[in-house]
Amino acid sequence: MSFSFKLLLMSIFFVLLLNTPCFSQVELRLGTVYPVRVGTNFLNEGYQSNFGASTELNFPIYKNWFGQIAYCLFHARVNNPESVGFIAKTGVTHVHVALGYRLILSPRYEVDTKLGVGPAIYRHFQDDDRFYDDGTSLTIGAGLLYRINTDLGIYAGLEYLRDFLNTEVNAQDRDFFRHTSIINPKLALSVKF
Amino acid sequence: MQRMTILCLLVLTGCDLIYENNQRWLVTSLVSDQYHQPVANVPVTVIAANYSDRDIIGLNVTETNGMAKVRTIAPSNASEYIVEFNMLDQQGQRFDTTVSSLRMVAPLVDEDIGSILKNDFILDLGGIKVNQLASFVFRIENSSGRPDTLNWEIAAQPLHIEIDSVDFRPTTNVSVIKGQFLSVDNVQSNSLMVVDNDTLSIRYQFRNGSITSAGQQNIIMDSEDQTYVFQF
Repeated sequence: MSFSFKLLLMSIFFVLLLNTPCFSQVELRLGTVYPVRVGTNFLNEGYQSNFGASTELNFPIYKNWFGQIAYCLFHARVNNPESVGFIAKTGVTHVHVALGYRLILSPRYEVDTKLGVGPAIYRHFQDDDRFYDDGTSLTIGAGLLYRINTDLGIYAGLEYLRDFLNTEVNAQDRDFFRHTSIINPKLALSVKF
Repeated sequence: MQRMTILCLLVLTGCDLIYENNQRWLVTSLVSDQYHQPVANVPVTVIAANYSDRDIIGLNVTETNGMAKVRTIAPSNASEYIVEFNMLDQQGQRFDTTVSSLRMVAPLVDEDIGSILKNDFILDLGGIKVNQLASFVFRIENSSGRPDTLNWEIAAQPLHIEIDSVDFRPTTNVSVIKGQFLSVDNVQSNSLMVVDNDTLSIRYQFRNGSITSAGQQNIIMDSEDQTYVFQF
């Protein structure tokens, strides 16, 4: 399934979501991430990552359970072309649909955890040329929300992403090019509609 | 008209190299020298080109066992692939003074690319031989006396270095002494008479297989005994 098709499905899902009554309690989180690449894979050994952007849309499902659509993008510059081939830089995009559980500790503090899945796309830039690797991403995360008032809050979280890419490559490099792991520390502004 | 349109489309789309999504290649080779010994740290560059574009698609250096493993991105419309084994690093500096094979090119052909896709995305170039220039010491000793004598020797390791020529050109002595030596063992030595405080110009050319190293050194001969050592 191509990344565009997956994105189309997500968009349809999002439009349907807007028409549900629970949309009135939607929470939007806009923040920044600093991806920490881990493991023996091309992303960790070939790149120097940078800050990225994160957008999350949370909507209640049942009691403390909530659904989430998350979009995360960061760019990484290649500092070791021996590991990845001759690429200048790569933009890594994740879109996740997640199921989460929220625990309200006090009127001001909440903790939540989530488990999600979605498409991942690595857009590579080499001079004027572009190509990509894509695949499926799993995410698991947790965080703490501090409510400044009923509408605004600050969210600090940590999520682990495991990507399974569709790259065709020789057997000895298969795991190196197909599986990546990222730990995303996240800081976001939370807005409740 | 339709043919013209297709031609225009080919011209418009065929300029830049296009890369396959979700694909990587591995180019491998075993690099050894003229003595069949593996050579480490030889930079290997894989280049793809078509009539208007030329990109490096992967690079690496050989491992201690001489193995070159270059991970590359996968062009889909290249007409030419070149694998270079050379002694220069990316900044154009001499990478390793003991490795002197200059831009040995191993061209790939369409059949090679077909074999990459059939053979688990690996292209094995097989053995590549590079010529390695042996390091050596050029030692000159000035012995004062009547007359002064200049003793010189070349010690090389390994033993297979060949000397094309060593020219000694004393400025005050009209004679030019030229040595022509081949198949040197580990030490080659000779003597000649010089004048004190003369400037001696030494021009040399050494050869190792197809690799040559040439240069010139000027030394002023002192009246005292003196040893001059040049490490190459």
